[in-house]
Amino acid sequence: MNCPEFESRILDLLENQLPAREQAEVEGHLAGCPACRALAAEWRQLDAALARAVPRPKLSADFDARLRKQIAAVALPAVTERKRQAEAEYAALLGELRRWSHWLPQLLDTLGWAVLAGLVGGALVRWSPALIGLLPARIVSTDSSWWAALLGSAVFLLIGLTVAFPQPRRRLAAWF
Amino acid sequence: MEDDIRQRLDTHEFGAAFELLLERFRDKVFRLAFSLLRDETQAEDMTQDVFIKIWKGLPGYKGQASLSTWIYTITRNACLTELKKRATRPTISLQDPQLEEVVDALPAMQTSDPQSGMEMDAQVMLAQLPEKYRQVITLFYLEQKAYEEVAAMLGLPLGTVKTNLFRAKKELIKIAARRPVLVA
Repeated sequence: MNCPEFESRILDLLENQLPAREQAEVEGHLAGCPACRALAAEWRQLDAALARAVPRPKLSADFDARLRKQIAAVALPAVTERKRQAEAEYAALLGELRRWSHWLPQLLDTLGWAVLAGLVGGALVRWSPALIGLLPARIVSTDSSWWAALLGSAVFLLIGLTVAFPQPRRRLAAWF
Repeated sequence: MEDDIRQRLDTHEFGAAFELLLERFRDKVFRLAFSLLRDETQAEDMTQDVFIKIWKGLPGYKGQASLSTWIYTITRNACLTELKKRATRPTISLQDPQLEEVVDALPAMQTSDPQSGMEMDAQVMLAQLPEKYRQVITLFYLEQKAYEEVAAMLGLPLGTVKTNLFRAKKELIKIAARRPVLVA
């Protein structure tokens, strides 16, 4: 009776699948165990018989020629081409959307800052007598300080927008 | 190993990529098909079919899996479909009296050469193994005992291949013990 714990390791040893340390251990065991030596001999015999017995099939000599003939008849289908085109269009559209999704938050961010600048400007004009004093008297009366604030907001908003969008600003400057 | 093929696929040179694939995988696909189908002629036809599938699929290959994994998966699936078809086909019964007469008339498969006798016995023993063991043993010897390659071709983890090989050989030893003439 051989030793069950060595069975698979003996096979691994015969197939050179054991690490060097384990190899020495299994070889040591084989030297002192006649049952396992007999098993190893049996594994070897079986291995040799299988190596000879497993059929070695071979492709026909005209395999490639026949295949190429069939391939020539099967040109890459138009549907594949259409699929590739559709994928390319989809990728282009996705790229376009990505550009938009990148640009839109920037625009909103900029507009937000411009509106904030307008509000701060309006508040300053509304509650700062010194700034109200700078505006022409016929525009600003004590009763219409809210109008003055609104006007101040519009001015600051415009300043904010022109800072945020230099290109339209340059175009406007060119017109004038 | 696959970089040159991938480069050609990236530049849509499908013909050139296919030629490289054919050169590298033709025999492996054939051997895998043979180990699964157990029939040389069918394995060759299957190899043709697999390469036609590969040709049609090349433009859509996205490179998620390695080319070898992709090719072996196509091969295994095609062979499994064929095996399922086979299973549903009507079979000839050996109990058929007419067939029995034909079989009896055939010369017995006997040989005086002990070596060839042993090989024939090993083939008979292989045929008695459960299918998953027979496939792994066949492919193991066809692929010159390359464990990793066998695992890749069968789509199994390396450990499973080693375990199946060990169990298959144990089973063969048991079968041989019942047939004393076999591995003597």
